[in-house]
Amino acid sequence: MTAVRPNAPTPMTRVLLVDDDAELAELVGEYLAREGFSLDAETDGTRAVDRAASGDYQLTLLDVMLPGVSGFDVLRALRATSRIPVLMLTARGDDVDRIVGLELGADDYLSKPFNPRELVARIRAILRRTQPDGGGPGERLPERLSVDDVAVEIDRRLVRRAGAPVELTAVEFALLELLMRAAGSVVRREDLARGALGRSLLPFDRSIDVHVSRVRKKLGPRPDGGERITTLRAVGYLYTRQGVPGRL
Amino acid sequence: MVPGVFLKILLWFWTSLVLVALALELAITATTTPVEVRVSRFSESVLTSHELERTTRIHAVLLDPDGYDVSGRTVPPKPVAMVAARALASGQTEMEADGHTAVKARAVAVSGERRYVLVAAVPIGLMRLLHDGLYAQGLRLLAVLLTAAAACYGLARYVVRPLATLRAATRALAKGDLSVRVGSTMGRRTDEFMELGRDFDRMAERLDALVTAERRLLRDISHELRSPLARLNVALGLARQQGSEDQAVLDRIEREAERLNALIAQLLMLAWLESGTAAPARKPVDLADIVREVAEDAAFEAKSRGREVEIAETCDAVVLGDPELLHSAVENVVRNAVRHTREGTVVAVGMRHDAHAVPARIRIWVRDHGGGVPDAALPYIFQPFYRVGDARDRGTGGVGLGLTIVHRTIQLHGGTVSAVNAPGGGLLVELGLPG
Repeated sequence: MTAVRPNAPTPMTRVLLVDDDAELAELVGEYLAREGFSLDAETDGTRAVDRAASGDYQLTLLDVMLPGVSGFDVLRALRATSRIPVLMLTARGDDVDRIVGLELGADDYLSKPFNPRELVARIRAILRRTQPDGGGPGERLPERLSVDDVAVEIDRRLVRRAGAPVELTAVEFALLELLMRAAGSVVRREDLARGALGRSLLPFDRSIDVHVSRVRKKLGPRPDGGERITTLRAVGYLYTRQGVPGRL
Repeated sequence: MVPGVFLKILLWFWTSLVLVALALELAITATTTPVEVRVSRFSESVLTSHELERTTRIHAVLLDPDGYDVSGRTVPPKPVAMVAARALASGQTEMEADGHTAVKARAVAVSGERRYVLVAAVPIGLMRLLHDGLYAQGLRLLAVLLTAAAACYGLARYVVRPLATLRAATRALAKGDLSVRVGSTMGRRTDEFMELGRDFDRMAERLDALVTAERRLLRDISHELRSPLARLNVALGLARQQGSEDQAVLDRIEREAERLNALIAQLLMLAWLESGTAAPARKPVDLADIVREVAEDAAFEAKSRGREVEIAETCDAVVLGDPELLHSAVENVVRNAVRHTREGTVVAVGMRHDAHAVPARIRIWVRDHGGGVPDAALPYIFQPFYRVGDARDRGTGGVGLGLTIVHRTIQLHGGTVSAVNAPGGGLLVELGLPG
């Protein structure tokens, strides 16, 4: 057994950067290489969709402001075929871009110019949720969660509703896991952000709300017609069980 | 639509038409007076049957064979005598008429051989109208009024309709809908209104192009200025990663890069606020929440620098506005105060309903214990990049646009901003919001 540095996952995690700034791509590539990631750059939006969906990469960094095709178009096209984690790069202060990006299925966003340390932290936070746990195989039984007609296999990252599979992105899966583990009691927005996004919320940060609303839409209502995930304004969210009132 | 021009045109044309009609009737009456006089003289001289005249407006007279009026032995006017003579000779009904009066004569046999002539003067044509009863005259007047009103209504509508279209379009434009055009709604007119409409369309098109260009420019500036900054940040990260010896220099570079980034963000924010296209949201905003959040955050940071922030007074206040813009305005003022207050002092933040203001106002005030601002400089501290003096601003970390953005933000919310030197030293900034 060779010692594995925590900062250098092996084999090399491959990341695709979609940005028209070739010089920036070069610098980011150099930085990420030292952190144990291999970065490829793509400047063309249309080609980016195919490359990101090819299965060669574990994560995509996507700049919203691309010449020609908008980053949103790329994201929309990508989400039609692939669940690869996407970290959006947006202009600072452009909240509309952020919300639109999250609604189209981006996992998180980072405003540009960014601190490369923050970039690495975000990438790691997203990957931690998408890649199987570091623990050796066979050491424990596959964990299952189920509430009403929704069943989740944590290790295989599978969600089924009444037997039919439901496609969730990495962040959505992490949110559902957190909410279902605490089913019947309220999870604070801040805790959801730490647990699912790996960061704390900024003022006026609607990331969690957008992600939760996507989960809601994908799961649909409970068999009895009730809302699965209820909102407690300014507090958090509550995964309800059929016929059981929630606790605060 | 304001009925002003429409009503004026309608009344003006209607009144003139009615006046013309009345004048015409009066003029005709005036020019026919000689005939009238003639008839009435005639009737006076031969008044034999007042009753007949009063009920039928027919002057009737009986002439004897010699041509004299039987009642007064007077000779009737010449035209009457002539018709009478003709009737006597022919034995049939004879008639003579000018434009206003018809004279009919017929011989009648009374007591044997003496043949008399009955002559009647009947008003005809327009003259007959004057002799009609009040009811008929009123009916005619009403017909004139109504016809004129209908014609004038149509005319006034025709004139005013394009104005109303233009007005609606101008309003939409002023509200920010730059895609509004009137060309297709003006119909097939070829008049000044049409021209005005076309000019309006050209103006709207130009405005649209300008605003679009400005927005694109802002976006491009934002992108182009930030691209080198993004590279700088990553390069800085690389330098740290490779274990550069002088971390302090790197810290300094990083701080300056962050300032540059903040400055770009503020410049873009200010450009947006000043563009005139900025329309803040109008959501209910709990100001007490904002003040509490800002004070808590600022207190946390101030503590590390040996300063404090506390809320001196608060109240329930909900205003309509953009929560994010208002939050950042209050935050800017509080941070500015924290930067300038002396070490070991307290920045006090408060809010209250202004008891005297009509309409109601909410005041948020922030008071620091710093050096204050020279009175002469107070009016200028909300201007972009205004620096009171080296002593106050060196090393305080502001980029010089914070208070300007506060000012514009509060103005956009219909409020006011003021700054005074507090008694006992320090600056007191007040934000007044309608609430």
